Amino acid sequence: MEIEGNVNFSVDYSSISKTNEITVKIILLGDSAVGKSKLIERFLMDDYKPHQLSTYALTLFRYKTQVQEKSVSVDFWDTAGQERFESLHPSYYHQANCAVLIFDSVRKVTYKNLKKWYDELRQYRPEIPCLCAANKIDENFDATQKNFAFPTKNRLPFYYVSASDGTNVVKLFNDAISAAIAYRLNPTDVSDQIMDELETLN
Amino acid sequence: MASSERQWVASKTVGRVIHPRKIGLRLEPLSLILLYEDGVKVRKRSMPIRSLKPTADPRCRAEEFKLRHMTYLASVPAVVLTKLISIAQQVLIGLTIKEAIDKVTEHFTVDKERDLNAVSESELKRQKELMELTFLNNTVSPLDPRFVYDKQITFHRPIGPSDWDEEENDAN
Repeated sequence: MEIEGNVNFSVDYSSISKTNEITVKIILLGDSAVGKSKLIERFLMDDYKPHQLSTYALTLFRYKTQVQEKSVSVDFWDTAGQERFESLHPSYYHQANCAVLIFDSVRKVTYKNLKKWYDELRQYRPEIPCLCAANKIDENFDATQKNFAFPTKNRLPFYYVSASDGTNVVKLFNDAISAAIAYRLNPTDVSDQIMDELETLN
Repeated sequence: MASSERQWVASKTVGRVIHPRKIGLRLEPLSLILLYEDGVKVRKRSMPIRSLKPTADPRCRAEEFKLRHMTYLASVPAVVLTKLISIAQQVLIGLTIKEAIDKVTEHFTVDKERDLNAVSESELKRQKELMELTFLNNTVSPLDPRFVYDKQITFHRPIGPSDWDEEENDAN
């Protein structure tokens, strides 16, 4: 995604920088008000500076970490409300290395809409790892005793989480980061392989 | 006394920090009562609601009220004040306090059936503010001794399928 006038945001998620830092892009998906921003804020605590890119209706959270002695820069992409326009801009999915699909465990409609988000994701990114999470389990603890067919059927790793009391939030995002790195280093989408080929030629 | 509890982040004032703990409504004389800590002890502050009309927009009145008492109410969500003022208005038009609370509470409850992708921006904002109340009530903040950054709970063996999957056999 090219963003004019601000070089910092012009990241190529297929390249490895000179400092050998791996850059990965993780996108959050799900209905309005399921708690996407709350979850990422709970994971990052105060240690973040969200960048509101209003032109593109997205919020970017950049997070630096170390995974197995490698420096990793993670960009979490949050929709900033553009989910209200039925579908997300293709650039949202572009070069994503992992997706986290979220629903609200007290609102059934958000669970029913998972299929729509998942189908759109697979249209743009057929192969990337996708994790699924039921949020707000602090409000509906009974949900944790239920088996949800959607993640099982689509073989998505599934998490019961609460952005409010913190349950399993850090685990969810750490797993997402690991999955993103694994995919990033060994992509199976043709488009990713082409990008890597080009990278090698350079 | 209708009340709504705690967990609002502290607001800073010159020289001291106000931690609101609880806010409620008093009918005679019409006022909001705030219990707060200022780092030393729990104190009570009474803030009169003057010339409230039943037809006034409770949201506007709440925002005016918050501005007037900013020192104490900075971190109290406007939706809480709006709810209390709405209750007062219902009492003004003749409902009992219980009826007023029931009626207003119904209006101030998250509509769980509604598809929030398809509502107006202002309605989405309102629903999010209501959700924020539960969120704040259940928050375990870093200041809380129970806080664990990487809190993990393993949920073993679901007891049964979710009834959200019932209607269709094919839940993909």
